[in-house]
This record gives sequence, C-alpha cells and structure tokens, in this order.
Amino acid sequence: MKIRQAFAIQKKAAVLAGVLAALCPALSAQRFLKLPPVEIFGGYSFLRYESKPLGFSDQQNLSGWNAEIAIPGIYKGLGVVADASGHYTREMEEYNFLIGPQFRYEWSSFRFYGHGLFGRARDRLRVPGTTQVEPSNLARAIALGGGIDVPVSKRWTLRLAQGDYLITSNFGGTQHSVRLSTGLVVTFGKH
Amino acid sequence: MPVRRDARSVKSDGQRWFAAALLAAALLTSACDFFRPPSSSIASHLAYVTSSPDNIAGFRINNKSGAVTPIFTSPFVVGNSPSGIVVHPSGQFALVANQLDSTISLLKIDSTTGALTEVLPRTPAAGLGPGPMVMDSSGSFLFVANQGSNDVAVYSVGSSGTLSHVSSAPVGSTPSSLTLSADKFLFVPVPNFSVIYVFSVSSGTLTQAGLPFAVPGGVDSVASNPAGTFLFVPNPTTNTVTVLAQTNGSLSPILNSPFAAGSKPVAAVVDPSGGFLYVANSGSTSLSQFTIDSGGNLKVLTGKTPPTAGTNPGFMTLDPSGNFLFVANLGGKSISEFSIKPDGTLVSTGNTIQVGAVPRGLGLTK
Repeated sequence: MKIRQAFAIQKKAAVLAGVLAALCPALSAQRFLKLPPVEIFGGYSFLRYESKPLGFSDQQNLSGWNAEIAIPGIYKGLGVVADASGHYTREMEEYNFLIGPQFRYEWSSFRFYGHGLFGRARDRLRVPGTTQVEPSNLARAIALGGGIDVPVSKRWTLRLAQGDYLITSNFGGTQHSVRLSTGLVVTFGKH
Repeated sequence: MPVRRDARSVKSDGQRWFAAALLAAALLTSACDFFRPPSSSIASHLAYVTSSPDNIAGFRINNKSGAVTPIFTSPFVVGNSPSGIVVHPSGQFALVANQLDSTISLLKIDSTTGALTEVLPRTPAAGLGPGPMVMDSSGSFLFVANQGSNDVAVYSVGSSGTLSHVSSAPVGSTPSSLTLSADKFLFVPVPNFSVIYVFSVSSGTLTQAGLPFAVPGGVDSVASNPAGTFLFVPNPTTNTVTVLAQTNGSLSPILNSPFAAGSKPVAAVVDPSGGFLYVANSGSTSLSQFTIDSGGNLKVLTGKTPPTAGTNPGFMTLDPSGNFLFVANLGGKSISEFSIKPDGTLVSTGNTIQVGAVPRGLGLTK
C-alpha cells in the first residue's frame, strides 16, 4: 500500500516537472514581450432613446454613465474594447454591455477612433401603470461609432466626445438611438 | 535645462487640459440642445378604451396624421366591467365607471408614457351599475348614469380627482347615455320609455325641466350643437333622425323633422363648428353625414366615398381637436378613425384600433 502511494507521489511529481519544463521557455520569453497598454475610460453619457414606438409622447433624453476597458494597440492601431453604460430618466432606464474591435488613428495631438460593438441591452420602464409590474427586457444591441481623444499627460487623456449610433431590439421592436459620452481615460502600461 | 523643460511641459499640459475641457463642454451642450424636444409643441395626445372584463387599452394618437401607437404598458387593469370613461380637461387624470362593482376608479395619467396608475381606494358609486358619464367643460362636476338603480348622480371633482357626491335624480328606467349641453342642461335618454329627461344644472344640482319628452321612433342617444339650440336624436326604430329645438330646457320638433338616416341609427355627434352632423347606423357598417342649416334642418352630405366603419357602429367620440372622429364598432370589437375635412366630409384615415373586446367607452386627452 505504502509502495503504491510512493509511486503515485512520484508520478505527480514527474507530471509537475514536465509542465514546468514546458513552461520555462515561455516564462523566460515573457520578459522580452512588450505588453500592450490598457486604457480605462469613465465619464458622463447622454442617450437619445427612440421611445415613440412604446407609446411615449416623444423620444427620451436619458443621462448616465459610460465605462470602457480598451486594449488599443494589439496590431497596428487595431484593438479591442469592452463597453458598459447606464442611462436613466424618470420614465425608464437603459443599460448596454458591449464588446468589439476598435481602430485608432493618431494625428497631431489628437487620437481618432472608430468601433463596432456588439452585445446586449437591458431596458426597464419605470412607469408601469396599474399592473405595478415594471416591464424589463434583455435584447441584442449594436453600437457603431467613434470619438476623439486628446492626451493631456502620459497617463491621462481627455475623451472630448464619443458618439455611437445604437441599435437595440427591446420589447419586440427595434430602437435606433444616439449615445454621446465624454470623460477621462487613464492608461496603464506604455504605448 | 531639464527643470525648464518640465515646467514648460506642465504649462503646456495645463493649456491643453483647459482647451480640451472647453471643447468638450461646447460639444456636449450643443448636442444636448440639439436633442432637446421643443416644449411648446405637443405632437400627440392619448386615447383610452374601456372593455370587459376589467381592461383599459391605451393608445397615442398623432395630432396631424391620426396614426395610432399602442402604449406599451397597456392594457391597464381597473374594476369589474369598466364602462364610461372621462378624461379631466387638465389631462392629469381619468375617471372610469366600474359597472359591476358599482365603483368609480380614479386613474392618474402619465403624459410622457401614457401609463395609467390607479389611485385606491375606489369611490363607491351613489347608485347601482354606473355606466355612461359626462363632465362639464371646467371639470368641476361629473354626471354618472346609474343603469342599475335608474338614476343620475352628480359628483363634485377635486383638483386631484377626488369625488364627492352632490345630488341624484331618478329617471324611471335605464338611462342609456348622457348629454350635457352648454353646461346648462343635461339630457338623459331612456330607451324603454322612448323619452328624454331634461334637467337644468346649477352647481351640481339637477332640477327636472318639465315632463320627459317623448320621441317617436325610439331613442338611444342625443347630440347637441355647441350653442345648445338644437338636439339631434337618432331613431333606431324608424331609421330617422329627429331634430328638436331647445329653449330653456323645453323641446319641440322642428318643422321638417324627422330626417332619413341609415339602418338602425343609434349615435350622433355634431362637429365643433355646429355645421355638420354624423350618425352611426348600427344596423350596417355605414355612417350618415349631414350639413345643418341655421334652422336645424339636415341635408345629406355626399362625399367622394360614403364613410364606412366596422360592424355595428355603436357610439362615436369627437377628438378634442375637432380633426378626427372615432367610431366604436361593437360587433367588430374595434374603433375606426376618420378625419373631418373642411367641407365636413368624413374620410377614413385607415387607422383602426383593435380592442379585442366590445368597446364600452372612449376617453381622449387634448
């Protein structure tokens, strides 16, 4: 029994040694790899939501927040961005969770970028009427847009404006909305 | 040297921050202004349709085109068998008669979303089986026909919609509708006796004006011109419209009355100018349209295409703008929409509100 246990321990040790041996070249090579910078954006966001098809008197103007995590320089200006936003008014609230590719071009002291984002949107109506059940729906969302950044220091960048044409398909219909955001971007790592 | 470069770079950073912040603020402000809706123009208004068993369907009506959009959170649930519905002139609330509960619901209207929220508890009706309702032009008094206890109750209406019973008056048998003329006289048709009860109205108190007026050929509803000088009474038994001159509550048929209408006319509406009369013929799908001369005489108005509603048009409601007429099709379980042209002819807008149950009442905001 003891002999069997000893063999088992030896077997595990051998597997571990093998794995370490395989990883060693990669681990040592990582010191020479340049990790791409990571940018985190946070700021104010405005949403012009197409609410007339829901029976509203007019399109809704919602205010809220927008946050993004981007890895901008994966390959020649091409990067990836994950985006979340929340917008609110007395009558409704709207959240977007999106991810997609982003292309960036630098000119003078400006950075221009464009992106195509895909994900989900959650809408909730806050004035439900006599049923007292607030209708809520999770559906597809697409955002096509871009923006202008102005670097103000090595770490900090001002996002002058980001505009997105937002297409959501909540409550069985399709909403064509416009999202505008502004705020600050903080960069971790070197460009 | 390195110290000087750092200072310059700090100064340059500061300027860049300032310029960028200014630009961002300008961009955002102009964007927000661009998307702000014009507050002075309201492009739509609301319509609410009562139907069994306990529903109110809500719709938004485009002021120009008449296009109908269902309110997403509709239907709204109220009491048992909602019937009559009136929207207060302020547009802030609606009142609904729950016929089988003998209660009246107060519903707050959210003007942005169109949603109705009921204010509980419901007001017990001062009578049994409240049905048809009408409100005076100032929104101070509500008149309710109680079809179970065969009387008419009057309530004073508070600014928030609370009701207080003021007075009641008996009408002998089931009242089928109510018509308030120039806020001075209330006309109550009673089909079982084929008569019209006339009441003078003063501070919510009803005083019967003479004996009930007998109408040969039957009566289901009454329409008054804006001046209150003529009453138009569709006669479902004889397929005619009786025209009555009204002076201080006393009624008398005009010389050429009655006038021929369609099959089983049951409801009538006079346009805001007082120049045109529309009649729903419940025995068919047709509507009759007439011009009204200064003596109250009716002349058939021939449009390009005779207006056609759905199956069994039962009651009609004029849009507060005076641009549209809504016809409730009791058999078709729908509401047809017509635009009123300057020459008085009705033209279908092509919009039909599908209720899915027999429509019993229609209330509209301005």
